[in-house]
Amino acid sequence: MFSNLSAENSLIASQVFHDVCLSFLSIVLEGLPFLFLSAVVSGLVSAFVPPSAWATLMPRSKAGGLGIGIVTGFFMPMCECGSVAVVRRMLRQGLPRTVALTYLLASPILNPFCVLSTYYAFRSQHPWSMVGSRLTLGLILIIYLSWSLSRRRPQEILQEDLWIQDGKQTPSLNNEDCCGHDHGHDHGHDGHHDREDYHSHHSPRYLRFLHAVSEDFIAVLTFLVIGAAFAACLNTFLPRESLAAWGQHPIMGPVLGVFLAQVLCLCSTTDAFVIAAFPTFSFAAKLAFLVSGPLFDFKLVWMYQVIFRRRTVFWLWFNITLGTLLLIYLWRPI
Amino acid sequence: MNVSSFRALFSPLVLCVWGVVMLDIVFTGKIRTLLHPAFYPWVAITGASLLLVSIALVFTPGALHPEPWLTWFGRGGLLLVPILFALSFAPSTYSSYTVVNRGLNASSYRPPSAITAGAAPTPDSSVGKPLAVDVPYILSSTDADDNRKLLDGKSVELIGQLYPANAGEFDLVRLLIYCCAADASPISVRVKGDASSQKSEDWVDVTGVVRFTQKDGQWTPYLDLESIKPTTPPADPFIY
Repeated sequence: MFSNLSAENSLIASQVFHDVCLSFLSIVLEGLPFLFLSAVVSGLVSAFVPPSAWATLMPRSKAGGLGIGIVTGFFMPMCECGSVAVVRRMLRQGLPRTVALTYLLASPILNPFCVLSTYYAFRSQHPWSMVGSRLTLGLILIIYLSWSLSRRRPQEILQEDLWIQDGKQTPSLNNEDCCGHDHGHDHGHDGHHDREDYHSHHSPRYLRFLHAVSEDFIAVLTFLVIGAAFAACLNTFLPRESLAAWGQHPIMGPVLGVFLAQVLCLCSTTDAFVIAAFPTFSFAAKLAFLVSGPLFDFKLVWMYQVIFRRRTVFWLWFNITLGTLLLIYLWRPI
Repeated sequence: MNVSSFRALFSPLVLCVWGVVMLDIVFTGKIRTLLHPAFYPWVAITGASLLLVSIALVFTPGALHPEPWLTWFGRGGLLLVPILFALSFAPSTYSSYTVVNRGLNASSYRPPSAITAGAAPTPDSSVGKPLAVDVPYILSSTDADDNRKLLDGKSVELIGQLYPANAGEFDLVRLLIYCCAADASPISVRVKGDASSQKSEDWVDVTGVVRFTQKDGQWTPYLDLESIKPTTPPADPFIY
């Protein structure tokens, strides 16, 4: 009997392992075209946009930066996998932090595709109320997060290679000033700065383009692979059916919505279709899922680390989770 | 080639492997088990572009820089081992463990394609033959009284994957995807009848009579089994 049980368990384990492989492969493959597109945009920025351009084009005030980030997110929508690489490159090029981080947070949720998919998914469940609530709460949360992050020093929140004061370049990237003085500064963390210097404005544009495309693609791909592996495991093991029983509870419903969004790691243009099909979830629980999902999930835990320090990623998780729940409890649209 | 110039091949190698993997997935047809068709051309373009970037890096003077061995074995392992593993072991569909974990939707449901089409497809109503329908058609028929009355008591023929349920019953399942296989949601019709001759997860062609039950105002369809036979998987295993 025990040998039968053991054989059955090993069969299930093998099937589950295969299911994880299937989920992992599909998540990675879905993100790759967006990631490559964003790496190409990064390459074009690196080759054709001089760092000084950002200082003259972008507003200096935080409020202006927030506005530009949100508007750019709406008209240049990009999913989470894509925006990370572009924002990383633009931060290194000297784009003001407020604009870059607002765009990072806003582009996956405040965009026309998200509006359309949410409307269609909820066509029989108060579609305009859901679309309006999702956009409004998302906007409030993004303004709060971007404003809070822009008030902190870059050294506190950003990865070491992105420590750039708004509008000013780090020494290793300062193409305007690097001529005529010591090129030996700041070299030697891991060879990264050496490569950046090598591909400064002294290099032809095609070299800068090639370098930025390959480096940004590989840098973000590493975190996409780790994030997708976690997402695939959670996606496979999570018993959605039994969790759904809590979906109508006035307090636990939204908590469950946020939890599911963070665990399932769905793309922001399709998440509405998946949650709309959960018949036992309340409107508030579905709204919590749709507001928090594009801003934070367990795939983004890893991908955000391309840009943010680990403790900032934790800060984002805490504030997005708590902020979403507070807003949902206060909002009560239906 | 000396060690230093070999170490400089890290980026082109990684890009080349990912490009080949993506093109392999497209041209072997494995992509049908992974993504929504809207992604197919983009995956092919991305795979080909990665190969081109990889070649350009190798043949452009000054584009390559040696990477430390730590990067080769650390980041390189992370970037190459999981994807090659997943490519080797990913099956064409989910096991019953995952399908049950995701929860079967067996009542009113209409996939996005039915929204854009405007109405459910009209079944073949040749006299004497069972109506040729599919799982989404039967589920969407619960939305409107006319459609439900049209199907109620009729003999229908449809295909799907068999997942065992209670004794003497099974679920005929189709996986609905919006984007990729990771978001697959199972939709199903319960079939009452003996299917012990078939294996779990196999594709089967089922003929049966449609019945409806109502609970809390919600209509749920089921089939009384007339016949069942194994069939080949459709070209597109998912419903979009």
